[in-house]
This record gives sequence, C-alpha cells and structure tokens, in this order.
Amino acid sequence: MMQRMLPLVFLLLAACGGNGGIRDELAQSGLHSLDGQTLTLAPAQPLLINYWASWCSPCRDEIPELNALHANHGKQVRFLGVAMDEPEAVRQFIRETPVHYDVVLGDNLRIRALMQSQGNTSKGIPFTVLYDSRGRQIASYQGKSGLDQLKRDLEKMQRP
Amino acid sequence: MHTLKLLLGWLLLALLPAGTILAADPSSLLPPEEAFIPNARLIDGTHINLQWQVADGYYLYRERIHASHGEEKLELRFPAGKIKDDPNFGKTEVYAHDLAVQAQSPRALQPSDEITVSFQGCAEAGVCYPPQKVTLRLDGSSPAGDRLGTLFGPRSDRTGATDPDFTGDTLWLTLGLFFLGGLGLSLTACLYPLIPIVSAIILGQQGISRQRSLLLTFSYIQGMALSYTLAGLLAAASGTLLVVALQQPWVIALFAGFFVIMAFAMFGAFELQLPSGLQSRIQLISQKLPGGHIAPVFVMGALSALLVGPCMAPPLAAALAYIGQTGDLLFGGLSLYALALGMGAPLLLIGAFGASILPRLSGRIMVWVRRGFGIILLGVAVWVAQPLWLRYLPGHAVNQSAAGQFTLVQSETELDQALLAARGTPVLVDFYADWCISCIELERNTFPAPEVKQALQGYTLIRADVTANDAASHALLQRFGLYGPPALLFYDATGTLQKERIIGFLKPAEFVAALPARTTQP
Repeated sequence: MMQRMLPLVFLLLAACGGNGGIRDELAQSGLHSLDGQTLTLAPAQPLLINYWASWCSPCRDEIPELNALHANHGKQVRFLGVAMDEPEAVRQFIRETPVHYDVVLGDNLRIRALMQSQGNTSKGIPFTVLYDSRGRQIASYQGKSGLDQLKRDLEKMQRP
Repeated sequence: MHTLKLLLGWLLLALLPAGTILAADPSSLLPPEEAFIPNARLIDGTHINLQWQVADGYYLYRERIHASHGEEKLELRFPAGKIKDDPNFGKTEVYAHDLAVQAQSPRALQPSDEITVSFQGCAEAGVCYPPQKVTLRLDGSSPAGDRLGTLFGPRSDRTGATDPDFTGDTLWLTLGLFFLGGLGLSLTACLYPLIPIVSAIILGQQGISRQRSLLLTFSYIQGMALSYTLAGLLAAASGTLLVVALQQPWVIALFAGFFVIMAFAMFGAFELQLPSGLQSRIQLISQKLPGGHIAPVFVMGALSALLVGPCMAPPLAAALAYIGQTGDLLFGGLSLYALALGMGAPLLLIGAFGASILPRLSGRIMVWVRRGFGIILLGVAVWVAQPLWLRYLPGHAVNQSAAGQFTLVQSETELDQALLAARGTPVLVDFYADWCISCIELERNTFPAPEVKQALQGYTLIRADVTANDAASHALLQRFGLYGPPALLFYDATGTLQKERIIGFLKPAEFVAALPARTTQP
C-alpha cells in the first residue's frame, strides 16, 4: 500500500520537470530505424514522440489515430514512433498496420530512461510527448483520454 | 473495523450530497513494480507458491507469466483468470486481482535459492508496462526489501502482516472518507476560531491578489495538516504497542468510556477547550508572526491545529485509534493529512472569496452535525468494546472443531512438556485469550479455512492460553518477548524456534503466505 503513494510524489516532480535539449537527447540515444539508419531531426520543428510496442494493446489502438493526426499535422510537426520492442515484432506489426511516420527503436533500457526523463514516471506505454519548435515540452499524454487532448493541442499549435 | 468505516461512511453520506468522486486520478499511474508485487515461497522441496499483489485497476496476462530456476523452466499451475476480449489479441486470460500460482521444479530447491520470474501487465486506464523480470528468493523476502518496516519495528517479521483491511484498493476509499470526515468536521464550530486568524492575518494584507491569498491560505492549511500528519504518524508508529495494549480488558473499558464521554461533549453536555490562558498565548504568538508570507503563515497553520485540538479531540482520537491498529506509518500520516485537507478546504474558499461567503450554517445545522459526530462516537465506543461483549453473542462459542486440535497450555512448564511431546514435527504456538478479538478472528476465519488446514498439516498445534492474564501468562509472554496475544510462533521439526512470527489477524491466504518455509526433510 505504501508504494501506492509514490506516484503522487512523482506526479509533483513530473509537473516541475521541463526539457530543453530533447534533440540532443534523442540524437545521443542511439535510436535507429528498422533498416539501421540513425535518427536525424530537422532543427526548429515541433516534435511528437509516441512510445509504443506491439505487445501493448492500447498502443496498437492508437496507431491508426496517430496516422490520422499525422495526415493533418505531419507537415508542421515531426512524428516519431519509438518502439520498445524487438525489430521482428515491429516489422510484423507494420506489415499488418502501416505506420505513416518514422518508427525507430533501440536499446530498451535507454528508451525507458529517455521516457522517464520526459516525465513518464509510471514507465507505462503508450506515452506521447509533444515539443514545440524550440524544443520545449508542451505536454505529455497517456491513457485513454490522452489522444483527445493531443488532438486539441495539435490544433492549437496549428493556429498562429 | 468495518463497523467504524461503515459508521463513518453513513454519516458522511448524510452530511454531504452523494456523488463525490473517490476514483483515483488516471494520470497517477503506478510504476509496474508497485502495480505488481511478486513474492515466492518454497512450500516443499519442489513446489513454490508464487504470488502477485495486483493493484486495483491493473491486470497481468496469464500467458506472459514465466518462471525459471537457472536455465530450467518451472512448470506453472494457474488458477482460472478472467477472460478479456482484447481488440488486438482476441480473448486473453488476465488476472485483475491478487494471484497465487503454484510452480513446480524438477529439482529439489532450498529457501535460499533464487528463481527468475517474468510477467507483463497493463492498467485498465489504457497503459501497458514493458515485460518485467525479477529475481525472487524462495524464502518469501520481497525483492525490494522492507522499507519503513525495518525502521520502526513492524508488526511482525513479514510484510504479509499488514492489516488486511488496508491492502491496496481500500486505501483511496479510506483516504477519501478521512477527507470527507475532515470536511464534516469543518462544518462544526470547532474551526470557527480559525476564521478570524485566516481572514485577519492572511487576508488582512491590503491589495494582494486572489492568487496570492489562495497561496497563503494553502500554505496555512499545509501547516495545519503537518500537525495532524505528525499525530497520525505517531499513532501508527505506536501501532505495535497499541494493538496489543488495546486488547487488555481494562484498556478497552477505558477507551470505550472515553468515547462515551466525548460523545456527550458532542451532544453539548459540556464544552471542550484549551485552558484560556494557553489559548490566548497561542493566539498571541500567531499574531506576532508577520502575515502575508508563506513560511510564517505555515507556522501559524501548525499552531492553529493546537488551538482547535481539544475541540477536535473526540473524532481525532477515534481516527487515531483506528490508525494505530493498522500500524502503517505512511497510511497513518496520509489519513490524517487527508483529514486536515478536508478540514482546510472551506478555509481555502475563505481565502479566495473572503469571509463573506461563509455559509450561515449557524445554530441548528451545526448542532445536528455535532450530534451526528456524537452518535458516531457512541458507535465507536461500542466497536472498541467489542472484545468485551462479542463472546456473549449467541453463536459465538469458540469454534470447537478448531479448538479441539490444539494442545492447551497455561504455563511455561506445560508449554515445555507440549513442545517435548511434539518433537519431530513442526509446531505452531498460538498465544490466545478469550478477550483478544484478533485471536477470535483467527480462530473463526483463518484456522478453519481449507487452505490453512492443508498448510498446517503435520504441524503440532499448541495453544498458550493467557486469558487469565496472571503471573503464569505473563511469564509465557515474556519468554518470547511478546506484549500480548495474538501472536503465532513456529518451531521447526528439530525444535528450533523460527524467526518468523505472526502478530495480529491474517486472512487465510495471507496466513499461508506468512508461514515459515518448510525445509526439506532428509
């Protein structure tokens, strides 16, 4: 029971956390595409990172919706799917459900650390983070109500 | 204990419009190591009892649970789970509650051996966790080790001995009830002395923004909450002593009497207040502190808790007695913190809008609220006195079938004889007294359970009856460093006293888990 309280503390800490050097962090995280290409990020572009895995049912549910969001906002916002998964499982999944934006993967422990530094203290996925063009974290999204909020935030970003 | 919760619940429902949300915030997700707590214990040479505590609102996938010893995979026997119709994976079997799996090893193992367990689960809130892999010792020790327990003298050697009423899912409900309880308390006149303090010192600042005054009020409430949290911590820390002390008939009578008196205070028979000298001194101190700044306001909040302390004492004492029984520090602190937050919530409104919005609850309603608390306190008195009257209830004769299996001893000599006679078998010594409510609960609910009977097969059962509470009883208790019943001690087949002991009531499943691992016989 004691352990149940810690999230409260984490939540408070997470609320204070910000992140400036997301591009550097991503560049150093050793993430690569399925065919081994290292990740490149254009400067001064808003960034959306979605952490997912093929073994995670709610993550799979989100992919089509993220595809749709990508269709609407993909020009302004760089979408990035980070898979905490085996390459083979990711390939298999993409064969069934195409993902319309870049999917990268890497060392799962490092991905977990990256996710945690972005405020995911529960370590659960799906977890989505949105950054503005200056690399400032706008918000993070998790759970069933997360996508609706993300949709609203993306639309807000669209408006000048 | 349920009675108290029920009583509290009723009053709160009467006090407040229904529909209050107690559900956990979906954003406060648990990390996996808190959502799923595994534990392994050797039953005999080749069988392992594998358990997971699954937090409420979380579940484990059956097909993703694996265990191995070194390179060897262990064969697992699962209980039936819940079938979940997953949009992606089809029908899958999941466990949304605590889970016990039996693992079988092809080779004989020792309690000091370690196995590797992997599992994967999700939260109902729509979040899943990466597969977890942990190494577990077969002696039942938790992988993370005991945290607070080692510091403050736990109720027993095992983590399993926490009060069964407070495991996991009821925590939020209990904290919610405490919060509502605090809200209810704030409707009584007890908090009225605080209103001038809040409005004068916090809001007396000219031209501060509403945000600022809210912040100040908030910090004031935090100060107040700190005092209450400390009280809760103390109550919980004393838990080990309080639990056994509470079983003594004269203590029970004293407490029950205390609650009755407090109830009468609530009915308005007399007024409870700090001596006026002390009261004005505290007020003086708080006036000297410069207002308008967060830190002094915080200190003022802490002092204010003293100011209203006596007026709050009756319900507070009930809450503290309740917490003491759980012996859980964090829970105790949090409960009282929740209570104080509830009490402070109306003050926040004052901070935001000024004293003018104070409800004109005067007179009659307040009297009724106080009476409501009075009735609760009477209920508490009856509840506290339970051990004194429960055994006179019809149908409550001590379960003969269970009692029959025990060898009764009442002195050290008798115990030694019984232990001697039991050589070659493991032994359970049950410290029991007719006036000990937890003993009777163990007797009625735990010992007759089939899984307990099975786990105790081969044990010689000895009951050290200390009902008499005389010199012989004290000598028996003292020999094992016990304060009183209930306590269960174990000897292995060679006659060595095991370090495991059970203090307090445990449900059957928890009881089985808390039993010392049986070493394989040569």
